[in-house]
Amino acid sequence: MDNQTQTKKQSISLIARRAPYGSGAARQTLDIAFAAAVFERPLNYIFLGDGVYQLLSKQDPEAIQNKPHGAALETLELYGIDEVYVHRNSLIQRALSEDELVCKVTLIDDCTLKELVAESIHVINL
Amino acid sequence: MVAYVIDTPEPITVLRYVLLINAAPQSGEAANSALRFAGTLLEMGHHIERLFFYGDGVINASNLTVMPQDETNLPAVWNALIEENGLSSVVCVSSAIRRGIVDSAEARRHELPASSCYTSSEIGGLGQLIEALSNCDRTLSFG
Repeated sequence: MDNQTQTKKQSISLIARRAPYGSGAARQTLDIAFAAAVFERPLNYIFLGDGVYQLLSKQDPEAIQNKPHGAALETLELYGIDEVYVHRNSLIQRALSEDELVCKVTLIDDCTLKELVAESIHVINL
Repeated sequence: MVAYVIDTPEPITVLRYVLLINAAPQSGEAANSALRFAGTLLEMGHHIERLFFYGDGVINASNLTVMPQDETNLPAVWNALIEENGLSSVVCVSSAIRRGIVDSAEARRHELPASSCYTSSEIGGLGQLIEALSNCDRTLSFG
């Protein structure tokens, strides 16, 4: 467990591990998050691997006729979704930093990631 | 709760499962794995709380797929499994209408010439996935 990280574990974990465009996975994961929020089911929203690209603040997908995914993720807080976790090494491997992301996140290491998943009753991995 | 099955000498703890199927029958092995997993769960005496078809997975509910005779028509096998076991099967509406999977009500609403969804599955919303999560012990996603 990462000593610097305070995690509040929830029974549902959503793991976003795909880049925002090129497949529907990012949007589908977000829609599940919104549905869970509407039903007041708290969740862990975990960004892993290429999934960290979803959180980048400078996204301009207009050229490929897409809506910016980062802008949608900015609204998470309004839906009461504040357990947003980003795998630190996934950011580092892609030469990204926390201040390039659209919202406040908790950086986690491998151990915390493992714990979050292990302690969740439901894990949805898209 | 304990059930006895012929193949299993020991009593098993019955678990309630939700299966989230996110892959089309034609794209890789995920949908076939989900189908075989579902069949095995039932054979072992477990309970399937709900099948939820999402994203490309909604194609598994299409009643318009045709396969060569020596290949498995996954949507037809899903349909048989759902009907024979009275399973709750939900197809995500927003994924479905994007991919041309509509029941007769959706076909009417969107003024489409035909329906394309097996009636054994219900077209519904993500709320039904979240609701099922509250009533199950295990969730597995495929694809």
